[in-house]
Amino acid sequence: MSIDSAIQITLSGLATGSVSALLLLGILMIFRVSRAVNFAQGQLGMIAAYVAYAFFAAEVLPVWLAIIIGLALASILSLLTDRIFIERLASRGALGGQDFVVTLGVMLLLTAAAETFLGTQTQSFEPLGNDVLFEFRSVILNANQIIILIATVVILITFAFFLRTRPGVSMRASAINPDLARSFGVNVSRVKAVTWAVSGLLAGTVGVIVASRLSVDPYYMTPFLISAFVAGIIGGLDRFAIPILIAFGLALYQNWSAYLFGATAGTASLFILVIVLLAVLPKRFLDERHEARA
Amino acid sequence: MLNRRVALTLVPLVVILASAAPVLLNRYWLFLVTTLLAYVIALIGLKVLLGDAGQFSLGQAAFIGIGAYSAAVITERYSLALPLEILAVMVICGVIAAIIAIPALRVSGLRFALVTLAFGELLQWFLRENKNVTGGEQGLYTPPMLLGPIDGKSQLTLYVVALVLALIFSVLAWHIPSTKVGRAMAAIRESPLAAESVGVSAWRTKLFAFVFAAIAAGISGVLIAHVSGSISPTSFGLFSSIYLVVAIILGGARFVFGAWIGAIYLVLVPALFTTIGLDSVYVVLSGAVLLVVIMVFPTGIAGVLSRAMRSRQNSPGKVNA
Amino acid sequence: MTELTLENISVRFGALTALSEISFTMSGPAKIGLIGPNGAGKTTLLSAISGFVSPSSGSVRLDNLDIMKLPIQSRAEKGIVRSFQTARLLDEETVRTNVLLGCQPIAGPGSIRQMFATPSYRKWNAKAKELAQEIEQIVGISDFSNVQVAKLPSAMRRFVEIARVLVAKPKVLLLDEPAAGLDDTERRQLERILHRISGQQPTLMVLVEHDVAVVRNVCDYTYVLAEGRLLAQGPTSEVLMDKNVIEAYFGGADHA
Repeated sequence: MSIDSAIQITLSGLATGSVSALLLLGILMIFRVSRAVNFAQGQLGMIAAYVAYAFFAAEVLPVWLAIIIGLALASILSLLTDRIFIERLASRGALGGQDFVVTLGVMLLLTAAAETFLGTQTQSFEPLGNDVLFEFRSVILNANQIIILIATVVILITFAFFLRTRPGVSMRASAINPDLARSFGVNVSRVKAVTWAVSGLLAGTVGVIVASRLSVDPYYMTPFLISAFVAGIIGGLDRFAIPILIAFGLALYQNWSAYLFGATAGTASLFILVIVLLAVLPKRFLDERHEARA
Repeated sequence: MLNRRVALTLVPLVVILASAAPVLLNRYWLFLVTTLLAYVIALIGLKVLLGDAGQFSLGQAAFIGIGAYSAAVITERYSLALPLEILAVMVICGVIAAIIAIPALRVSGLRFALVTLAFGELLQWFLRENKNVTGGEQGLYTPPMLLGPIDGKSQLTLYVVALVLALIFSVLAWHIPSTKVGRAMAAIRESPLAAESVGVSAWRTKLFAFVFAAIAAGISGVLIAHVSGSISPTSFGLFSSIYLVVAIILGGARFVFGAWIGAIYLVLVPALFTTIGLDSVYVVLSGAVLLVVIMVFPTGIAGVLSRAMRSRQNSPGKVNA
Repeated sequence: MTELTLENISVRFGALTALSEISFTMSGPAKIGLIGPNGAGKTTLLSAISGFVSPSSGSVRLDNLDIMKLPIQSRAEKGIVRSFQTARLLDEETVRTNVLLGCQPIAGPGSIRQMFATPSYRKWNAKAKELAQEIEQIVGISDFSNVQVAKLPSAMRRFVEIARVLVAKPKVLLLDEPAAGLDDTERRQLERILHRISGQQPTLMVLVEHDVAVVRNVCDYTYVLAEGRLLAQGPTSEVLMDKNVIEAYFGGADHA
């Protein structure tokens, strides 16, 4: 096995990883600001891509404008999920797992909307750089992969810095103790709104980028969503760096498994890993963060 | 939930309906009702695991799949009679559940859901990969049940078997909450702190619920395999598990009656929409249904009915039992 | 006769030492008080005995059986139960269900037999129901047996928890400030219940209380903790007049 193949597998694994990482980032942001688990993240991306496609396939709008509209829609839907459902649940008392079910419902609704209005057959999206290839020695990456790799790294670094700013810190405060946060002058409402909206935007971006690589049906985001959640749940939804790194790690692991054991082994290997990890990790790493005992 | 009077009026009604069904319904609708009864059993499993013990599983459809494929293989290759077939499936599902329990029961909440999801996806991969055993993507044909002299192919037989099994599971699941282990489940579900204080063994209680749900799903799968005659991996994947959860939450996860309502939603409602010609509406419906239920009546339809009956009982002029 | 022995029990939470070299032997049946200023470590001591906290060193023996390694459930099965300052109840269930929860440690048929309501389980269940009825009578909550706990006022909830810890007739009963928040009538009811219990069951009862009056009325023997150490012990009336104890309490206003 040549170095070039190794580099190829690693780089394309990282490119896939960056998709999951971006998706995960949106999920982490929402958990940080609302303590809610957003299962609809993947389908928000799907809707952005589908709506954009609807506009430019019908030649109503140029591609770039259609994509912007798709992203805006994802952002708005994300915001609405928070305003209409999550906030209301939160005001009733601790979310206690109901956020799972609600975002699951939103996910189903979005899937259904896509199936009903935009059709269930697989379609192919606009290539968006998938066909522009760069070759270095015998490592081949297309423009799409390079862009997403760079974009992801930039976004992640930006977010890492953001977390240290005042608005960044107030995200967590808004979730844990909104009243206290308000007394410090934090506009909790606005922090949440912006976070959910940006998260929707991220989801939309991921949706569009992935759509450009595959032929898509309404469920195409599911594997990425699952990978993102696996990384988030193992790494800790209330953290940042660890789950993101795990997301990249998992993608690499899957890509290498696929190379070594065959294409379908890639998916199976992920789940085997999850099950083994949870069976074997010492209890300390597995317990949900407990409140201090009285 | 049911008081004496309601039970006494309901039971004869149910008996009449149950006996009338095979006579009144045509082949297609009898087939639907039998399928419905099969899903009642799987939903009863979820009622105990999710409703009573509070564990959110995304793998129930996978266990149905295990039951279904086992049934197909067992009947095809070993020609076991139905009782033995059911016993075999119970053992298979029980053992697999116990194995999955090793990682699954060490964690709770989201992580538990993730393990069940991972298991379900692994099963999908296994079913699709092993073409010689499982028929791969195409699925498997299931021979009819073997019941000695009784015709295993007849709709009536299938209906009666399904009905009997559904009733047995209903009674068992209805009884569980008032037992020692049922109370332990309530403690785990409502207040892990209280559970700890009374010395409840969380993992043992969860194991019981998990194995019960797996066995219920397995038996459900046996029925589904024989009723539909052919099975394929798609029916037992993640989204099917999700729809099962939607169904039990809609019906009312704490109530056995909720499992029955959920099964109606799962089986009859889409059939109704298809006859009217509005196929895709069902899909839209599920998402909306879930949202409305959680936001407006989290205890599900059965919960709402139960509260309505209880307030009727408490109305002035009546003496409480 | 029940004997509870602690030898050099120390509990450290990081840099904080909650309990330091606590040693004593309690023999029951008895009503024993455990008092001390805030932060003295009284709750921690109860937690160490019942298994909610693992001591950093030392040993705990019940009737000469070393129970240090036993988890909470096993200690409950051996007869050590404990109540909490905020009642840990199942709000959505009835009083009866909550009381019956106290029967969990009582050995009985397995879950499958329970589900199928076998004769052996029905016998266990009947016995449990009998115990529940009995304790509800003693505690005075029989009238509320079928009421949902969430609907009860906080004093009643306290009594429900007391019923739950008592139902299985424990050997060692650890009560953590059961009188907190009770008014005079309720306090007297609590004292009556505690007296009645000791009459009916041979329990070694350890009562942690801030309300010194309750300790005086109920307990024959009292231990005093201050800053994680055993400050004094003896017949209640003597201990309560001890100069060091009084100083610990009033000088103790400065302690967190």
